Amino acid sequence: MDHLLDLPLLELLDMEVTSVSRREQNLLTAPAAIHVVTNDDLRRRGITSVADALRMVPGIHVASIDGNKWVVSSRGHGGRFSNKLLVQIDGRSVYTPAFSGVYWDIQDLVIADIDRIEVIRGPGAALWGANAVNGVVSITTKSAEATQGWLLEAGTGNQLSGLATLRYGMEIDDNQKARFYLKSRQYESNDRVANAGDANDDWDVSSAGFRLDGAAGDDSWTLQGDLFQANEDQLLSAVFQPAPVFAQAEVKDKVDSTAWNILGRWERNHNSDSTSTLQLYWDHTKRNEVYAGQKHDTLDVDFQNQLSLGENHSLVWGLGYRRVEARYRNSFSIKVIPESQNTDLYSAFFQDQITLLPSVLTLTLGSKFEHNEFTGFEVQPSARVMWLPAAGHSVWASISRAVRTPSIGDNGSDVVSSPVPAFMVVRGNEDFQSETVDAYEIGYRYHGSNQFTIDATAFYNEYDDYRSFEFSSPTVLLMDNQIYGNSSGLELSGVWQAARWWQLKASYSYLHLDMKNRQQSTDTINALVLNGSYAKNMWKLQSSMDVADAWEIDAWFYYVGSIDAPSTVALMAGTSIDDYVSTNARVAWKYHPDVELSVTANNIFDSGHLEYVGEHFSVPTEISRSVLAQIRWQF
Amino acid sequence: MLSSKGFGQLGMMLRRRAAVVISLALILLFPVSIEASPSDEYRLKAALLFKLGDFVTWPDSDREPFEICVFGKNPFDGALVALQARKVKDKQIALRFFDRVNANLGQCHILYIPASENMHISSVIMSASYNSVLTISDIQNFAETGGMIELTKKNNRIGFRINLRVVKEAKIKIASPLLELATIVSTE
Repeated sequence: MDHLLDLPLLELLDMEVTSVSRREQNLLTAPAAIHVVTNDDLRRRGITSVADALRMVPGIHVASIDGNKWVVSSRGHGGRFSNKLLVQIDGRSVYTPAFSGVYWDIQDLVIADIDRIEVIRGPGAALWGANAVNGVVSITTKSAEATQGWLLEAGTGNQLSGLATLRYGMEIDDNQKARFYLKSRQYESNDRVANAGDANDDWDVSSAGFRLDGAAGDDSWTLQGDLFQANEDQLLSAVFQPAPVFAQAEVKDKVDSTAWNILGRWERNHNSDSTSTLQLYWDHTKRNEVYAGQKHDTLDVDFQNQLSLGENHSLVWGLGYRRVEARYRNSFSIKVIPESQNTDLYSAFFQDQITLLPSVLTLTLGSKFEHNEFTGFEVQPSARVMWLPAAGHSVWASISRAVRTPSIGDNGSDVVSSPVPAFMVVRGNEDFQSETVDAYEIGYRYHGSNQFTIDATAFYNEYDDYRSFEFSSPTVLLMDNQIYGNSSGLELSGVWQAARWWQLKASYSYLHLDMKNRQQSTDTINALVLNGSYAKNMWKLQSSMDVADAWEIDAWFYYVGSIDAPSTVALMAGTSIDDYVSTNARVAWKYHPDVELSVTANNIFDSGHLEYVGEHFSVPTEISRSVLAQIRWQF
Repeated sequence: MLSSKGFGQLGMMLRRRAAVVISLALILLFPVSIEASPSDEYRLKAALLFKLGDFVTWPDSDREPFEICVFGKNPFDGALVALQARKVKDKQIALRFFDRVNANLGQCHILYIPASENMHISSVIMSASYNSVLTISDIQNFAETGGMIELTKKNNRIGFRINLRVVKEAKIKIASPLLELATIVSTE
């Protein structure tokens, strides 16, 4: 090494290196609407749950239905079971196959061990596969090497009454590092809307897990696993029963939810231009509540290979297989048919990034090909262009297609939706087709200054074959694909470094949906819900200050426009959501380089407000003001 | 009838799961142990980080020691250690490693951002360059997206691309011998 340091610069630049690693693509020249939430962002927002981590992402709408149920949506089509957003944690899909959507309550992670959350708005299906219709959320935890030593965390507050985390990272040998964690949270209940009393939504969730990372020569590997257990109270507006009882109103229910997973990943660098990754996981989830029991075992195998072909082609291709074994406990209110079923999903994809003009123009072509149990083959292509007209400016455009494939419930289920005048049943349909989107996006980024950046995206989506509920008899609504329409929107965000110690981030998003029924459709409701269940306007503002080395002072504000028809239930009841501004702040003091004390306050100027009303059986619940005091000790 | 079919499935399931468990165990039990040593590439890059300092002038030129920093996962595998015995412009070199963006980043003279930290690029670049830190990375188009010096690969040799506009805005001066060796991306 010393010999090298004594050489003049010119000679160094003339030295030939046989293996130069593949040059990583730049996030800022990604031809998609991508936003990254970093570990710093999570710490500075006092984040304690995964869903809340997405609240400040430009264009993403996060709402709490009650203390343990969330709605997370991108570009509309929200709802508790919003099925247009694909979510994965360290390469493991957490999108539930039964009714689609994500059970955010059971996605529990040590927040301090999250490296980043990548959020893509718009279709990501060409790479990620079905159901990435309006967005992809990909959570990546830190490697075991980056989380060595002890982390102890404790917190208490009026809503989150108890938070405890213990993590220990250790070195196994020179090549292998590991970490283990235990975590637990207890939440107090919120209040029902209009002073109707306690919402019975208190809950607790605990988790334990490990991660092992190793590397030697050209190989690296990861083995990780988690175990989750949640006990949640919920208040159901009604549970239906056979005549002559019909319905029991306001049922206090307990949700018992457990999950575990184990994942192994092995990566090999064949040479400087080619890398292969093989990933295998087994994911188990079990959820019991009064009207249904669900158990899913998912086995997923995924192979990927990246290679450079000449100077101008960077190719990624892959193959995947996923088997889901599903078992249900049916009730009078909800039946999944058949109660026991296994589904197989086969997939393949490729993506070629073609450099047309080095550092100026890139074309990315790709497609996913999938075969699923219910609709057979699905092809989801995309074409994306990135143009760098001058340093500091980038412009991109894309055309892509994505599908939302039928959930197990869409294919076969009976859900009792009302006891009067007779029992109305919403029924799954084995002829139900995939919902499709053709998306057109353009974007611009400015990053030519040391003081500010700008990111702007506009999109137009054409949707077809959306889910409708058609009368097949006076008491049966059969799922069908009789809704179509479009959406358009604009998303702007910017960062301003106002001073060495002060950074500001702002974003604004506008969304418009126009969903319609086909002429033959008898569904008069679902298009209204689709058109009414999103906030037309949102803005978000964050200020981060570092004061006198030891202090972090953060304030953040967000506005969510009014929501006219958050769900069918809310539409029928005439419940809408008023717009609101949420004011939040966190002050943290580094008492010692290893010890941080912080206080986080959410919804400071608001004792409680309604953020959403869920589908079926939900009781409108106001989300309370909350304060949390935390201590984090790392050594 | 139903139950025997069920057991058959269970057996198959168990065998499949056993295969998964065994393959994971194999990965665990037989780690290949090869002594890690810095690659030629990173030895050369470490030498470049050291050499660059001679061609650059920072606004507060008295700052000591001379801090060479790495953000995130350190890819140098020990190749940087030799730098600690050296001086740049008569100032002892100190190495610092950051895993988060904070005001202390501003104390670095040079900040190297490895390709693996691509996802953190926007927050790191702004905080560093605002504080007159020379940012260097081999992430593609680093120079176009607000970075200062991008390391490139051509004919198995390493080259530079420099965004002079950002460098000037940060009140950093780069001497002409270095500029002549580089591709200038923005001159404004």
